[in-house]
Amino acid sequence: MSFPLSRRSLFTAAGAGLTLGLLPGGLMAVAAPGQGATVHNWLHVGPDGTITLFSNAQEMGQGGFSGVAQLLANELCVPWDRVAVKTAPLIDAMGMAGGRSHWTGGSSSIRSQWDKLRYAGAAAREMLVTAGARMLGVSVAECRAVNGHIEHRSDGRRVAYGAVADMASRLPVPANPVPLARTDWSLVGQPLLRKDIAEKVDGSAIYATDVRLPGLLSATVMQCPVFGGRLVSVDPSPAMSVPGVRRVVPVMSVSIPIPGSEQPLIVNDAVAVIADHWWAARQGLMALSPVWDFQGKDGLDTDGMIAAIQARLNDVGSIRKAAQEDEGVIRTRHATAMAGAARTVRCDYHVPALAHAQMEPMSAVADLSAGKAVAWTGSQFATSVRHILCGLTGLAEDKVTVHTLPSGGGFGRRYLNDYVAYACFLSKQAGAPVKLIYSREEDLAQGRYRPATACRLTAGLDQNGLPVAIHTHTAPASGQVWIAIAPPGTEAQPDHQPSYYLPAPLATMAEAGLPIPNGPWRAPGSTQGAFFFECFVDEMAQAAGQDPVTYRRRLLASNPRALRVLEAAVTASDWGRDLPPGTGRGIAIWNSFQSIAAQVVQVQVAQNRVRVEKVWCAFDCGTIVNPDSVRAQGEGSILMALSASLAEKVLLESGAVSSRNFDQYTLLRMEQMPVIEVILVESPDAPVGGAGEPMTPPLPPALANAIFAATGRRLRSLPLSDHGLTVA
Amino acid sequence: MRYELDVNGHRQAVDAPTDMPLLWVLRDLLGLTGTKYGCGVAQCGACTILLDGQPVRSCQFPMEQYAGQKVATVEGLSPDRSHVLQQAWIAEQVPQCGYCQSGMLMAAAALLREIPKPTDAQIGAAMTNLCRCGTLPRVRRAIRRAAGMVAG
Ligand code: FES
Ligand code: FES
Repeated sequence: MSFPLSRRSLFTAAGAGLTLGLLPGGLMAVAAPGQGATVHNWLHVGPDGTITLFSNAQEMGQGGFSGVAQLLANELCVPWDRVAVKTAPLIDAMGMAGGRSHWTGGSSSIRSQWDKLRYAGAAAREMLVTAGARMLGVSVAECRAVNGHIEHRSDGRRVAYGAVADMASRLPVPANPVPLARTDWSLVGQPLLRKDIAEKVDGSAIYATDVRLPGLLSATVMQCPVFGGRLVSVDPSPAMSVPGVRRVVPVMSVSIPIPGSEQPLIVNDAVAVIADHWWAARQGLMALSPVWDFQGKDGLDTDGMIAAIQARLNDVGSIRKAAQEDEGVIRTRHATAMAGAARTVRCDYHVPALAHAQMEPMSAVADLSAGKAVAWTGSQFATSVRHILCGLTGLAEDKVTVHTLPSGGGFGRRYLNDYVAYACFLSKQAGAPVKLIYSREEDLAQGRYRPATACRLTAGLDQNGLPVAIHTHTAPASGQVWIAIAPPGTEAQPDHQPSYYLPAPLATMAEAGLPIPNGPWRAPGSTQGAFFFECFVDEMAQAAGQDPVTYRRRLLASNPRALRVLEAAVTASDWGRDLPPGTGRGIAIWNSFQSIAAQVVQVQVAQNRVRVEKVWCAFDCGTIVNPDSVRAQGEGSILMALSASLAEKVLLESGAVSSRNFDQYTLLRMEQMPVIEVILVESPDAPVGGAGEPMTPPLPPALANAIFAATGRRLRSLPLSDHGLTVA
Repeated sequence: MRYELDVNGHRQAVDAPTDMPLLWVLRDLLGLTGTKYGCGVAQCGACTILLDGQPVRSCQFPMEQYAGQKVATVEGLSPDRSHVLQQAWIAEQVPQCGYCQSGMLMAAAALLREIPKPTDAQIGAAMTNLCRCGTLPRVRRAIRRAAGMVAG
């Protein structure tokens, strides 16, 4: 159900007590319907002292669901073990950041809601303290909030929050609540146990694949294997003879109107089978021989894809610039500086398409039977799920229901709701609730891939080997990938870009426009950009005759914050120490999501066998809410990037993906895993940065640089398996 | 076909197609959804269960091969998350998305039954399950903790 905006019904729903919301620019209690109020976040203090926090971060493993609550609980001064966390209702008022939309991504749950959550918590705390002071018969100034109680500062008398929650709820909401001073934080910065972990050790966590409902049918789907192909016909009879199969649904030319948008959601042509259980649906689907029209798009293979992006390296491309900047001025400045260079360095790179390969295949449950419109998904974009339900049923937003569940990994893939559209469409067709699960083969063959990207980097160096001009030219298979370097004098920290401020930069891009669907893949753009640029920095260092760390120190002279992160990695790894023969180290640094990550990788290489021994990762996200969660994201980001660098590569044959299961799309195993050390650096005065993605980009270039140090071989493309290297 | 199974110590009768893998019998017919589907081809380990104490990828073999055997799933580890591995998993905050973790726990249970104090190499050889979230360092630490090899 969607939460009604009435305060009274909220109390009915949640029990008596204090419930609070936050308005942009001010605070007030939850408004009645029709007042147009935008309420931004919620908490509930029950008369029994229970505290429920509503988190609007969808949990896909990153810890954001619990992290949002930890920030709120800190401001409320409540004991963590008394806090329960629930998923926020899908109301505009509780949209992500300052918007109305519910989505989770961009490492933004904490950083974009930092103030919102603190002010909401502070307002509630002040109301509770005011009520507590009244009950104690003293002035507010004599009281403070401690561990779920209001305490008299000098005589130590206490009342519990629960005892005054009702009274507090009748007080005016403070107009200017004051968040706690950093020195008064009790929970932020602590490695608290995440609220979502316990249910993940006994199988009780419910993902979309696990939802059970009366009369629930199971479905699976096969889209045209060639991207952009159409379904001509399908003979359902081979599937219908599989016991348990209920029906075969051809999906042809389906588009779903999206409320508030000119663009309908186009659903790829597909064949679906609906059955009593998933195994029957899968067997039925495998028995079918659909007739597809590939629309002439079945010519592309893996090598052709790489050749197509490499061909774009010679294009002029479009330029990246601010609206007020003049393209001619930028190009002239760059060309002039380049002409004055003592020497130039130029290298070409490329990286393959990658699949998200999250462990839970795409799955969703929908019930559009008998006038209902309900979906259960682990989508990163719940508002779009609602739009799909509205579009398919014609119902108003408040008549459809979206249940957001934890997902078995997102990494950006679940921002795209293709699977939700199928589940909803199939439920409508069947007139029954339907659970759709992609087979792993379908999941990997119908991804929204990190686009394969080629890159040409050209630098002009002065006599000291320092850059006087840089040209970055990127060529993604589809979508946008830029390396836009900040020139000296830029005030902001670079973001999603190299950590350096460098002179006379020119950024161009030529998209190859290949018909391969793309989407955000953990640290979008940065996993390609960091590999290209940080490998290139090592080439510039070599041209300058300098050690990679010494050279980066010089490039970072004007960015003390990034330099400090680099030094933390250098110190922890004891960079420069003597290493055994065949052993080498590489370093890389990258700014993304307002955070900075520097990594040192140590490898041992013998006869084309690479052992990745250790990764040191220094990380500065400004302020840390949960250091253990941040470390976990560091471990996860590093291993995902390492896995991608070793042997991951989406393979295409005749326009279709041929790497369709984990035997062809291989992921890192425990035996290949290095020791990982995460070093946390804080910058209390900096804006709060993200943590779920920014430790991903530095790994691939640091690894390639380490292999160069160990072997003298420059790897200008990934994965390592393309170079005959195996990882033990 | 009608089969008799012992699942987590309970005798169960189930009607299932002969070629239906145990994974789908557990999930779709018996409602034990803790065991997960990840690949269906014995590559990922998300579906790992114990069959007469041995770790088995339950997506692989058709139901008819399991009749009469003792099946243990993650739901049977303990009624209250008190199993030494579950405790270690919480203490080390192992799961991220959690989807692979039922299989990890069952593979770890089989390992410790076989080798009570495994070396890292033995842990690596036994734990071939995939985890996209990158929890493997913590999986290893939690196994060592459960085996009493690190201070708790
Ligand atoms: S689902 Fe059985 S091993 Fe992957
Ligand atoms: S915890 Fe997400 S796949 Fe392992």
